[in-house]
Amino acid sequence: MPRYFFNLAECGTLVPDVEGKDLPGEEAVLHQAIVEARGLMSAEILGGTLCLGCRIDVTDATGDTILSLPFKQAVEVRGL
Amino acid sequence: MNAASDITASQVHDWIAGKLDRFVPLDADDRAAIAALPIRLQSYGAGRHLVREGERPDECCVLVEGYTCRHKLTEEGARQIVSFHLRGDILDVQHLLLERADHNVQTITAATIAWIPRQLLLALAWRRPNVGKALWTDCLVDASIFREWVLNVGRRDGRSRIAHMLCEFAARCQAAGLGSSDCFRLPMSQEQIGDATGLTSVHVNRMLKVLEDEAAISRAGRQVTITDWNLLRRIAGFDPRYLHAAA
Repeated sequence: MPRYFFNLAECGTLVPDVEGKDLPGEEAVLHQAIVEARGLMSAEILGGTLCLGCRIDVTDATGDTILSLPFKQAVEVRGL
Repeated sequence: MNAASDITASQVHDWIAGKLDRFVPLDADDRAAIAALPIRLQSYGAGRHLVREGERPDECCVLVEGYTCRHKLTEEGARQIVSFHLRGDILDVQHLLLERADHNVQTITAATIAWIPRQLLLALAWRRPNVGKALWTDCLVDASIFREWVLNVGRRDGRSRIAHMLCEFAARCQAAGLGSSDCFRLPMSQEQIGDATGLTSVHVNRMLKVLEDEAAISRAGRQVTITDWNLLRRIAGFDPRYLHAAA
């Protein structure tokens, strides 16, 4: 399985993923990116501040970005 | 799976006696009885299951080299790691008395395991009260660590959970003679740390970076240096008394 790297872009700061995760394909990559974004957002909500502008940028082994998932696309927000 | 070549059964006997002696002082007869236990040494690669949930183990295992974890899976296959283990840990004392495994034991890195026939270790525990009491104490210390992990996952925020895991790992590495408590190598991947702390890999990565930005730790790959123990301990709410000076 190819390896993908889930980097966090938050308000101008990049937290690079140096370990990566082996996944079967792009569908699994999108699912994992959503899980990662939601996990981080959950913790932010508990802390009282949520930034919807952060992103999960997924790169492959060659360093190419294959998916950029803004947090706001990882959840359905109602009632704003 | 290969036979481990550089460790002898008598070294393993000494380690087991040394570990149990920290809980309950052993006498010469206790040590002689331990030295008579048959030991089967076996090497494994990373990610190998040593015990699977539902099995009926007929041997108990002592971790001689490497790192392992115990974990459980949800119906959907999500994994919760419930403990990490390092050199010298007895991995399944519970199978002396509980016949069926209620969790999985898996290697994290390449590891060497000393297998001891369950019935012989159980008979030794009945025959030599010091050994029996020490094995019982080992189970209780395990349980104390589990309780602390429930507190960690259930009630601490992500930053504190990671800080606490680092404090505990550092303290246990030092106790096992695997380096100083200030500097150690993390054998676990961020995904495995996430499975142990109820966080995702990216969250773990971010919390490690936060602790680094706060100058509590510094990192070079998986090498971690605790640069400010007081700060890390404060962030974690770490009080080593739950380790009972034995882990």
